[in-house]
Amino acid sequence: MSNNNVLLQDHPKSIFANDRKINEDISEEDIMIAMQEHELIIRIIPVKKYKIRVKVKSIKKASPRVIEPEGIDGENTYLV
Amino acid sequence: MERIHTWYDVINSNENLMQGDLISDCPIIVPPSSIELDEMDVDIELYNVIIISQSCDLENKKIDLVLVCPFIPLDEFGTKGEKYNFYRSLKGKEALRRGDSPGYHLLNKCNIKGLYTDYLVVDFHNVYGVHFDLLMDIARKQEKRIRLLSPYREHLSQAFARFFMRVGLPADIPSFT
Repeated sequence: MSNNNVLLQDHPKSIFANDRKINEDISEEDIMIAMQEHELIIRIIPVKKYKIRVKVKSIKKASPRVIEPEGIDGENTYLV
Repeated sequence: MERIHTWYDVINSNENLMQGDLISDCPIIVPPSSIELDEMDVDIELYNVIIISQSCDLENKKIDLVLVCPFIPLDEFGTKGEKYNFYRSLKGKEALRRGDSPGYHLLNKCNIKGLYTDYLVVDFHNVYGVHFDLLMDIARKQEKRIRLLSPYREHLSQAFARFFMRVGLPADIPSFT
């Protein structure tokens, strides 16, 4: 199947189609320069925040939960 | 015959959790700075999240805590608090689309009737572990949920891996230009 037969449903390539043809207008270098000029870490704001009252009943050291790999049962292992 | 690449599917509430499932209003417990044997107030933050854990681990219940990342619609990304937000600019949006910002991943719009979303920005900087049973309980309370389909699901997973395994070099090779 050729690429012409594949319809991309609202693919992000068309994200700014209504604004202007950006793909040709902005080079990779333009983006990199702009990225270096600005603070780029944006903290996502929670939908909602609230507090709950909890009672800490115990504090103890946890033990790891061991997950046995599938297909290795000890007797039929390939490890020497 | 034309093939349509759909990004999402609609999942009924009783279906198993999979990587790429979008869960609304997931409560995240903010770990307090100190814990003592006493009563204390703990902050809860609700986020819309996407499941990052591998589907096979979820299917076989090999994990207790499910790895999730928060997401937000692109048009709300960075609208609060920041003086200037690079990602509001065309260059910023284009950086997201091209994958030039490894800490964020852009997902397509969802045009499914009743479950419409804008482009979504997934934040890899803050990952959370949510108990499997809690997440399943939340998912069951949602009548329907959206699931990111393959290969976009693997693309998300790969983007997360790329962010997590990135290495900062103390001294890079100088540019040839």
